[in-house]
Amino acid sequence: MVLKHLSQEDIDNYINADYHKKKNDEIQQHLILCEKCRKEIDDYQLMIKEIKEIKTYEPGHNFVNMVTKNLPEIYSKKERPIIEIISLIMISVPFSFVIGFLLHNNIFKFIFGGKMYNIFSSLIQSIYYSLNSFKFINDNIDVFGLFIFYMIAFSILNRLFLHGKLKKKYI
Amino acid sequence: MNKDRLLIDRIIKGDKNSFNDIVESYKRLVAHIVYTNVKNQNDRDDLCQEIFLKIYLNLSTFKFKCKLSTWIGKIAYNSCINYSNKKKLLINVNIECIRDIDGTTDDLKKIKSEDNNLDPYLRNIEIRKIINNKIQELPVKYQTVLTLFHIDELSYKEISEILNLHIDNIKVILSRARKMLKDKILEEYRKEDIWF
Repeated sequence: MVLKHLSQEDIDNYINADYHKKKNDEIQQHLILCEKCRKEIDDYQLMIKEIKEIKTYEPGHNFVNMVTKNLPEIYSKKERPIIEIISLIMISVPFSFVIGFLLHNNIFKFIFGGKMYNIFSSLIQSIYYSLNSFKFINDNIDVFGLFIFYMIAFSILNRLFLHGKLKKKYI
Repeated sequence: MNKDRLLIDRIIKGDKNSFNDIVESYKRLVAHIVYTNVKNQNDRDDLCQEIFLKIYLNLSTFKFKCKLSTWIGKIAYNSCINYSNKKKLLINVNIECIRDIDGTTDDLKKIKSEDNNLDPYLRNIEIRKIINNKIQELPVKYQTVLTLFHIDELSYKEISEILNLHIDNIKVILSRARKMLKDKILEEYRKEDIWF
């Protein structure tokens, strides 16, 4: 049981319900016996009760409309605008032709040597085989396969850098 | 928290109308912070609008590391500080509390006259006006903490993040604010005349 009068810290913690149950019970025991502390806490609690009831300043009913009608259009509704897709195609097409040309002329083999060339060409070959079932693109399979490959690759890079987590890290 | 996340996702995807819900939910909090820090009524409304515009523009940068209310409160408080720095008009005394020559307000006179016939409902309204006026005589930081803790019911942690102060400082400010408010009221009125 607390014998001395409550300190301001005790009063504050009791009012704010910051004390654990045991300490709270001790203070309540004290309040039963000590009229001075009881009145002090009552004063605060009544004052706080009135503070909570105070009608404070609030913007008018029209406030929400006033705020929202002036908002700029900074967040686009389309996640992937058409211009983004066109730019992807424009990057992928020349890349496909250049790499196709290099493959046909065995330039990769000349630059990287046999082992590196085998890995790279087997990757490209796997894309070719999967696309071979489409007869109508059979004639241009090299370039078409590369085009698809680069479209996917650039799309992934685009998502990662412009919309994803890498944006914050690198851009 | 999930509701806030959904709302923000919708706004960022282009649904501007979802921002209405954010304004509706947090306008009271923003208004309280602005009210305690800004004197001029027209400036208050303009600043509230400016704060929500700032919130809208920066919504995509909110990382959910704290509550949305804390983030909004922080923007509101910083905007008030910037405003005060610009205008040098931080208020300590509310001019709405117009005093008579003898130093009491009209509202208080009614209560001091011990008019027992005064309607209890009206009496409560008058008492709250008095307390509100007395709150506005407190230092601005005291007013802000008192309002955020008791009226907006924010936690110490949230208030400390909004005001950029340590939790212990918030506790001290809150304690001093309440004590000062009680002393100010009792300086002028008897307990029986107010709420006691």
